Amino acid sequence: MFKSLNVGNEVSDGIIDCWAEVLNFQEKRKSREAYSRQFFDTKVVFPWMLTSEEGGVEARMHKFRLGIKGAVNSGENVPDFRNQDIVFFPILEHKHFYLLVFELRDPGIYVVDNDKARQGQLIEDSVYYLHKDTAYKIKDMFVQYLREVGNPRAEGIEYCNTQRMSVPWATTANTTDCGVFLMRHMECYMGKNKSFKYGFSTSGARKMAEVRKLRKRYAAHILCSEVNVLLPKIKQDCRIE
Amino acid sequence: MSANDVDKKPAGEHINLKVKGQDGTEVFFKIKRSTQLKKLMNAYCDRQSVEINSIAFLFDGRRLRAEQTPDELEMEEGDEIDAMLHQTGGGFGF
Repeated sequence: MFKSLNVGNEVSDGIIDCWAEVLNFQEKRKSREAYSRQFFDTKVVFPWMLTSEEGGVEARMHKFRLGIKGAVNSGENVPDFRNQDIVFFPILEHKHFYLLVFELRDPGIYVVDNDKARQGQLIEDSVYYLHKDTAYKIKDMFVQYLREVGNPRAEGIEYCNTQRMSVPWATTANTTDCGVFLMRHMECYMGKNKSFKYGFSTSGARKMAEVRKLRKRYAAHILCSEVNVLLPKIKQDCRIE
Repeated sequence: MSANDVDKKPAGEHINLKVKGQDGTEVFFKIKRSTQLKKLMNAYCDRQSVEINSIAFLFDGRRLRAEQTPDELEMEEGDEIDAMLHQTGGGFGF
C-alpha cells in the first residue's frame, strides 16, 4: 500500500484512509477559532450503495449509519455532527479521486477535483436515486442521516446544490496523481470563505515537482503520526529517539 | 469452514456469518466463536482468488484485524462483514 506513494504510482485508497485518520487526530489539536473538521475514509460508502437499490433505502441507510459510526469511533454515542463545521468524503470513482465537502456551519456542498476536464461538468441531481450523480447520492444519505440524528443543519444542507470549487491548479491528462491532490485538498480546505493556500503552482513542471515532494512528505507524515500503531517499532528500527 | 462445510458440533459454539462484497454479493461462513477471523478472511480470499492484503474487511463500519475473533467482537448469528477491495486512483478511468 505504501509503495503507491512512490512517484509515478497511483495512490491506494488505503493511503487515503490512513490520511483521514491522521487528519482526524490532528483536529484534536486545532485552534479554537478554526473550523472543526471531520474526515471520513473511503469505506463509508460501498459501491453497491451507489449502484443498486436492492434492499431499498433502509439497507443503504443501515450501512451508511454503521460506516459513519465506525469512522467516527464514538463508542456507543451516535455521531450527530452538531459540533462539526466541515465534513469530508473522499470519493474514488472510475479510478479517479476527488473530494466531496459538506459545509455545515454556512451550508454548502462542494466538489474539489484536480481534473480540469471535469471543471465545467454539471453535477446532476434527479428525483430517482440511481439517476443522481454520486455527489447527490451521498448528499441524499447524509441529509437523511442528519435528520435522523436531529441535526438542525439538515434542512440547510438539503436545499443546497452541489457546486464545483474552482481549482486554479487543475491538471489535464494527469493519470497518476489525483490521490495526492486529494490528500492536499483534505489537508488544506478550511472553509469556502478561507483563501486557498494549497501551495500548488499553476505551471505544469513546477506543479509536478510539488506533487513529488508531497508524496514524500505524506509518507513521512503518516509513518510518524501518533495514530500509527507501528510508530514505536519504526522509531526503534530507524534508531530515532 | 465455508458454507458448504456443515459443522456437527453443538449449536452456540459456532456462528454463521455473511461476507458481503462491494458489489453486494454474499458468501456465507460458519465459524467457531473463538476462531480468529483470519481463517474466514483466507477462505473468502481463496474463493474470490484475491490476495488477503488486497481486501479490507469491516464489521459495523470498523476495520477487522485478522487475529480478532467473533467472541471478542461480540458478533451475533447472521452478522454481516463487508469486504472491500483496495483500489488505486490515478486520473481518468474512462
